[in-house]
Amino acid sequence: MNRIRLKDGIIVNDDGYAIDSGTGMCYSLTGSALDIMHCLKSGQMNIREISVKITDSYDIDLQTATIDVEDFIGELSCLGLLV
Amino acid sequence: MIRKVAVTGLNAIDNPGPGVPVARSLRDAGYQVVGLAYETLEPGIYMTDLLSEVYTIPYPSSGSSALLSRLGAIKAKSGIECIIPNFDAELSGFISISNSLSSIGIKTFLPDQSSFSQREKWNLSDLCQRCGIDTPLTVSVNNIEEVKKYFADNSKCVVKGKYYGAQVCHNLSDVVGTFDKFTSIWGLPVIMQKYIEGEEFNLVGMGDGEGGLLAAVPMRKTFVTDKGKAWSGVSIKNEELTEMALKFVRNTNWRGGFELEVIKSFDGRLNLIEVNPRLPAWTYLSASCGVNIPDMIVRMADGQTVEPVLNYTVGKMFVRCSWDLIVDESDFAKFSITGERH
Repeated sequence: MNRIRLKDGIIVNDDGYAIDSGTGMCYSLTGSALDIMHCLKSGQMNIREISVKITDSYDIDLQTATIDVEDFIGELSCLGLLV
Repeated sequence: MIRKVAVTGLNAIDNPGPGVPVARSLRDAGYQVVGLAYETLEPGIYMTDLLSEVYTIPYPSSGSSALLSRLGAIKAKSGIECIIPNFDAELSGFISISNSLSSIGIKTFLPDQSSFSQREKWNLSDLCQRCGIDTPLTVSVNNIEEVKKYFADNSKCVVKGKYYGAQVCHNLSDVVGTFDKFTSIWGLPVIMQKYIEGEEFNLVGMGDGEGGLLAAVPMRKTFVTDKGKAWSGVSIKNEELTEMALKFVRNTNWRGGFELEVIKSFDGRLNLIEVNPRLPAWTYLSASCGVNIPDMIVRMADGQTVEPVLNYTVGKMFVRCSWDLIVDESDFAKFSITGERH
């Protein structure tokens, strides 16, 4: 499966926000969203691998995690934050 | 080496002049800064920590010789070595006397009249065509018949004054009223520009006068006033905006500071809607991002070698504020009578 990556210039901060240095937009991130953003920042993981990581960190099954990750990645794509 | 610099544009109202932030940038770079004011209630006059001295100068309508004469007197009194003018309406006058100023020991770093006129609002379409930059349809109008002609398709448009002011108009009566208002303030022509919806970006930059770009710091407006002026903004990295600045300076051989006003339409295009021939009121943001353009202007005016500074801190914000200065009425009276504060 394809690896997914944030576009260049997206700064992800552990305090729970991300900044797009190309547009100046900032986004608040909570809990799993922050974890997913870190995964995407690395550019080394696909949806399944990210979902497994979320399953490990939170008390949810893989199917639910996959749906949530896909939804979140869809939102990021609409915002133009992915490569 | 220049140590004492004069600046104009000390008004700091809801549509502030750039003089105070330019002075602030210069002070950060270690210069002694002198203010030049047109009116007695320009707030910068009373910023004693920022400006060591302030002098009144004649309005642009008084003509270049009156300005030169007054600046000569100020030079003799205060020893200013360089001037950074910051008002659109005064720039042409300063450009016309720049050689005379130089001969009395006051340096400037300004565009020539040709470059200056190429970015006039009524020449913007031609300039953008030459540069390969997108811009909304812009026409200059001189009477109501022309207003009606260009508003025939009844679409939303922006009406702009010759030097200042921009108003989004929704119908013909709006346009006619705004045309009358701007004509009475700034004279003709009045500019009509197709309205483009989208996100607003600005860029402060500096050209070396030979087609080279010495500085470019773009920002996104994060809050605007009812006049459309940025009340807060954030520095961003945007190669397309920097490329636009490069095209502008390359095609005009721009000399000195400038500001590009840009709207990113929903189709992703960057549309240049205006070029201001001077530094903007948010110019201190660029200094805070590591690009002190007023300092670079003074060093260029001084004949020093200035290397381009195209790297800067991204994600730095400015948030404008309103702050009451408390002044003794006697200081106001003294300045009103003498035209000087020391």
